[in-house]
Amino acid sequence: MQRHTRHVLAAVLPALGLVSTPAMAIDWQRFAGSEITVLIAEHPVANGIRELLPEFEEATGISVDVQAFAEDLYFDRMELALRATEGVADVYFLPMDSTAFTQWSAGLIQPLTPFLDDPELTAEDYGLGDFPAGFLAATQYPPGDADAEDYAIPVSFESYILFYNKEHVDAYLDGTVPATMPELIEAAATISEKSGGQVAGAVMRGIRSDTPIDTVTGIVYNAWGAEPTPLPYNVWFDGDWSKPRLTDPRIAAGLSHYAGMMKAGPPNILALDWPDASLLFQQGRAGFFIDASLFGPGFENPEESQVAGKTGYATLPPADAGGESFTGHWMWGLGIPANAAEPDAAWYFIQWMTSKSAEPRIGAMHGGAARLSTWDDAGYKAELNPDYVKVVQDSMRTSRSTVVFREGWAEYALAIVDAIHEIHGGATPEAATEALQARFLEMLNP
Amino acid sequence: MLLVLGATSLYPFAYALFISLFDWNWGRSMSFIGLANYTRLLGDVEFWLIMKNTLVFATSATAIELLLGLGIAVAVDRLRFGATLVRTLLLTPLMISGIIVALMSKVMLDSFLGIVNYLLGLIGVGPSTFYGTEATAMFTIVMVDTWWQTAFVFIILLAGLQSLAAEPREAARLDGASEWRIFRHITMPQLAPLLLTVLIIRSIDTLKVFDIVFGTTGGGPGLATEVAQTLAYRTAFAYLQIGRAMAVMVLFSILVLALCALYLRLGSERRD
Repeated sequence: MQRHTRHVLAAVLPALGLVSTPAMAIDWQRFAGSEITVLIAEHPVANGIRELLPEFEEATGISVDVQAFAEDLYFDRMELALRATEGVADVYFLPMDSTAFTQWSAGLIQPLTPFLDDPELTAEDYGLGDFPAGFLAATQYPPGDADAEDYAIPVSFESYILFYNKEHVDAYLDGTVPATMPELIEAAATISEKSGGQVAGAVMRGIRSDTPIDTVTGIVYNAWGAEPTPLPYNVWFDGDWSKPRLTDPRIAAGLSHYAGMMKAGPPNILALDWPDASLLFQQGRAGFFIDASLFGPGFENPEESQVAGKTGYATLPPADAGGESFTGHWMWGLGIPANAAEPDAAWYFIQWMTSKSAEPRIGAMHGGAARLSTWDDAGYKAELNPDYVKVVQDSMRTSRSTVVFREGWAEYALAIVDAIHEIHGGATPEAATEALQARFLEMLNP
Repeated sequence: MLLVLGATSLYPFAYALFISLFDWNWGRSMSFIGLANYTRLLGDVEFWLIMKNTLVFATSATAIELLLGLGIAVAVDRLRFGATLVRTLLLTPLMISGIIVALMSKVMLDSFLGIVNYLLGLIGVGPSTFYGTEATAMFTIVMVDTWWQTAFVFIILLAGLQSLAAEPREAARLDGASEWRIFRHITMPQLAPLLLTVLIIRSIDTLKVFDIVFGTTGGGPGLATEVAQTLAYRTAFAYLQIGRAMAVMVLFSILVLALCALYLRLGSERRD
């Protein structure tokens, strides 16, 4: 098809309602004929992208090769692709945390702000402001700079919430969902005890890894309360990298709550990562599970889950009676590598897939839509459990980013997880956090 | 030959040595820091604990696999019927990749969903935690590696046994020597060079254990099963501290080379 003809069709078909495009203020056929590669982890977002791909390719004339990898493999593959001499990917699935910050520090990703600011490349009604400012802040660099630029657009977010098995709560707790975190830990222990060990009171990510850190941060926020935790330091430092504040009683309490939930877990809790923990809950073998909200839609899938229709949702119980619930959130985004061969076409792809019209369709597959407007979309909400929707929306009111803008943060995160293991193993929270503080200082001043 | 060796072994080692002298986050800027990565590692208590874990795993797994493999090889060597079938069955674990062995064992040993705990439950035992406590995790990993790799020792030693001349043993039997004395004084000395070879191969293999640890405990609980390779992987791909990861690998290579030199020296002393 001649490019001219495609331009005419691109203008006429949407007008006739035959093809849906996110916005027509820009020339969507401008990069027709380009070929781009999208590097992504196997995730519901990847499924959503695959479903919408034919529409995107038809409307833009851009060919897309989606290369998806299991999440474990994806991280290594992503780091390699960003460092390749010649571009491997034009768009990539970007963890909006210290990973992205480290990539930015190393000059491996492109700013999206020049695209966003260009009226010829970004539709007028794209609506960047529809994403919560706190979400976008996770990948705005340099951190805290008035001229900071955006480096990613969020495609899925997860807040840390409480899942509970209604049948177990009815059977062992007379249907009462605990109101505070200490009560929750006690209730989880009660389930383990009353079930004779047949049901784990709780499951958590217990493995020694930096991967639990976002859930941990959410639980620490819950104990921390309303006091701001400004970036780049977040809750862990007192406004300066030389001032870690791990001995703060609120941090000790949060870590202690996490360890307390682990203690009510199965005997091999220290060997459980998120796939193991979520599987146990999904198989109906656990009373409570605190983790990413994104697990919710999977728990409601009767083809895979034993707890479909039996799962309850709640925001994290407050640390103290009469207190308020707080939590954290983490996001996947889409970004453009610095070595991308087709950055303009890549931006079109990102813009399309994160537009107001596409997001509800992709979001319905994972339940973690990043746009505020999507949570008002009837079609999106209809795909999800209403209790789940309510709890996620409630959590969004007090949620803060779990990101820490520091290269190599994973090493510090692992030290925090080690402290939780110490508490789980019998150390007092005070002793464990004092040792953690010393460890941080040692790592900060090698 | 030297060129091939240089390209595949010496150049990567020299490059690793070079990178280990830099602070490099795998980005576009590298800063030279001399031996700082080494002094940091050597002064870190955790590093020494991890090296100790590595040695504990390697010596335990190698010793058990050698003893078990030798015992099975001797037993199968004496089978009159069905030796081929037994040999084939015993080799099955070797056909499975390490990461699959790790994931399989993790599922089978799970305290809730695992078949092993289910079977133990039938006889009133358990549930056992296996990978879940510091006390049991390393032992479990050693046992899983033993299940996986004993067949390698077995098949090499069986081939060795079957290649030994039968006459000395038959002569000893005619002289009234017991089977144990024949094994101790005739079979073992003849098998010794092969045993040394297997010992070196299994030692190097177990020292560089990665997949079983990575796929089961991730190095935990605590640091109970963290080994040199998982530390290097984590330092490189999670912390993006490539220089420090290379320093781990350089120190680890020196350890392996020293061990090999020791084995070879022992072997040559024995021959002398």
